[in-house]
Amino acid sequence: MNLKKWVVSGVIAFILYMLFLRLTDAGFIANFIAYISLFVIAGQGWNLLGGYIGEISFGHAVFFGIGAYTVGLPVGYKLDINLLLLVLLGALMAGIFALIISYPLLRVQGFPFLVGTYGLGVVIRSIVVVTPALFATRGIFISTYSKNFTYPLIIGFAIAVVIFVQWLVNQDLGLRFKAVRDVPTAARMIGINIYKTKASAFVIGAMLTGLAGGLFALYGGFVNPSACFGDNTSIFILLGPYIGGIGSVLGALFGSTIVIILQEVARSVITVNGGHYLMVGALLVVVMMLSKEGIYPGIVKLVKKIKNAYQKRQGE
Amino acid sequence: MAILEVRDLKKSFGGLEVFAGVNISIEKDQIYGIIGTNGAGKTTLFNIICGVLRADQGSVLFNGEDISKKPTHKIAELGIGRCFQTVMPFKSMTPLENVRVARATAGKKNKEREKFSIDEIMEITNLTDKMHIKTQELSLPDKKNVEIARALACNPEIILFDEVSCGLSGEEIYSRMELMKKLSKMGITVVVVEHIMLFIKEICDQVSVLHSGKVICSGTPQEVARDAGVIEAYLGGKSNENIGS
Ligand SMILES: Nc1ncnc2c1ncn2[C@@H]1O[C@H](COP(=O)(O)OP(=O)(O)OP(=O)(O)O)[C@@H](O)[C@H]1O
Ligand SMILES: [Mg+2]
Repeated sequence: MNLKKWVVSGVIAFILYMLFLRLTDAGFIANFIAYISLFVIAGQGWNLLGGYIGEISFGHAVFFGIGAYTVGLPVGYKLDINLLLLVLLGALMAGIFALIISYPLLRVQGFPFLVGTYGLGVVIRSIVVVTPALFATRGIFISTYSKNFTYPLIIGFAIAVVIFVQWLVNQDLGLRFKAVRDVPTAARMIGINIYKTKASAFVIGAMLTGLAGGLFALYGGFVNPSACFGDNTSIFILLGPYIGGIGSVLGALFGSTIVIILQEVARSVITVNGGHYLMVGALLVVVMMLSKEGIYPGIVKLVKKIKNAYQKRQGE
Repeated sequence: MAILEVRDLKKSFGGLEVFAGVNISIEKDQIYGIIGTNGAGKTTLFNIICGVLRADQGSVLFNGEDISKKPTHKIAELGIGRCFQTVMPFKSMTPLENVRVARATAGKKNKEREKFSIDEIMEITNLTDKMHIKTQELSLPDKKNVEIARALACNPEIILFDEVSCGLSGEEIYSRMELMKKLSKMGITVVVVEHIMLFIKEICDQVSVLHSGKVICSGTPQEVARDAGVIEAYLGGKSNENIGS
């Protein structure tokens, strides 16, 4: 299987990153790569349901936020619990919440599901904002580890998550995801329980997005409702896989990277408050015009076309 | 005891009455044919057996057990496999993955009934050299083969084939007939819906004719071809030349 290739590439990428950290003091770039990695992790989680099952969620910030607040809240209450443990617990909490919420939410499909997840995001954010026990709009500061530890940690997790998802979608469970997306009736006819299969993708995906949230708390040392539970967070989580190529591990990886880079570049160029969204919006329009399936499948098609044209020429 | 039995089935879509009390009884290891003109309700019958649609009245018994209230995936797990009239392979996957996922799901539940390994399934459905190509890139006959392979991978006791020969060439139809016979010999009960009479006459042990919401005739292909009611339904009583020939 080509999983070996993925593991080898992952290890090489990690070593290169560590070398880069040692040899230069480009803190800005290291910081940036870590930030991208957070959205890569969250986006891979979103992609399990959105890409592999085909149910578009507009509220994944909920799981990101649960992950982040599972790290933040004990700190806010001055409990002395290991932060790494809290990160893992955050992923677990996001998964449990997804399991509970899947019962009503996954009964609907398509547009109603999209609206439902958006509504869920609004409800949960509102609850956090008005609840003093959750530190309301003030948020929580976290005295986190040094960047020399958190950055490699986040990048390591991102690499591991990408490899994990690539592995999962080729397991029997992953094939079931695709079967449900391709033809639900035929999927039932080979004994697949559609609800259970969707719920598995939803829960595993939510755990990954929750993991990203927990790591976000370590990365920034701060959590608040708008950064963790905000609509923008939901949108940036889904935009990566969506633009990159829905239902493809590499597509989601590319997409998240491109979206975050573009956003940050735009932020430094366009100084009007919120003006950088213009770039992201424009990217979305351009990508959807050029390749409906996203950047990665678009590039693959283009390469094939060029190859074919080249071979034809050679044949003549 | 019949392996599959449909009792007093009634079904309407709005004002359209498709079944007005249909009874069919299929014995184990038979090849059973169901024929009827367009819109007679053959696909609807399969949909009700599989739990995709619910009957208004009546019951479906599988090995004596009433399955008419069960969800589709449970019915599949019990051992009913199906190939669809409009082909529905899992198109984003390879033929091998189509088979693998079926083997890992209903196939796993029915492991004790396993008759073919995955390699054997690939071979009898002529997919061995195409098993790593994405199914959406395959030809229509191959897509149909993928569906057959997927159904076989579930280790079913009975398979419902809805017009497997539709859109195929003479040679391909012939190889389908051979495959049906082979499955039946290996102890898999086969139910076929077909428009091609030669197919029915050649391979079926029993045939039922659906017409105007009823089974108007049941029997061997020869008996059915001679039946006056069937001739009337198919040809308005002019001749029986096309039936059974
Ligand atoms: N889900 C449905 N809703 C409404 N009407 C339906 C539905 N399914 C089937 N019908 C109608 O029921 C009748 C029987 O359809 P069915 O597809 O079972 O016929 P068939 O015997 O399989 O025909 P064909 O030979 O064309 O495949 C048709 O008039 C069809 O339009
Ligand atoms: Mg039909």
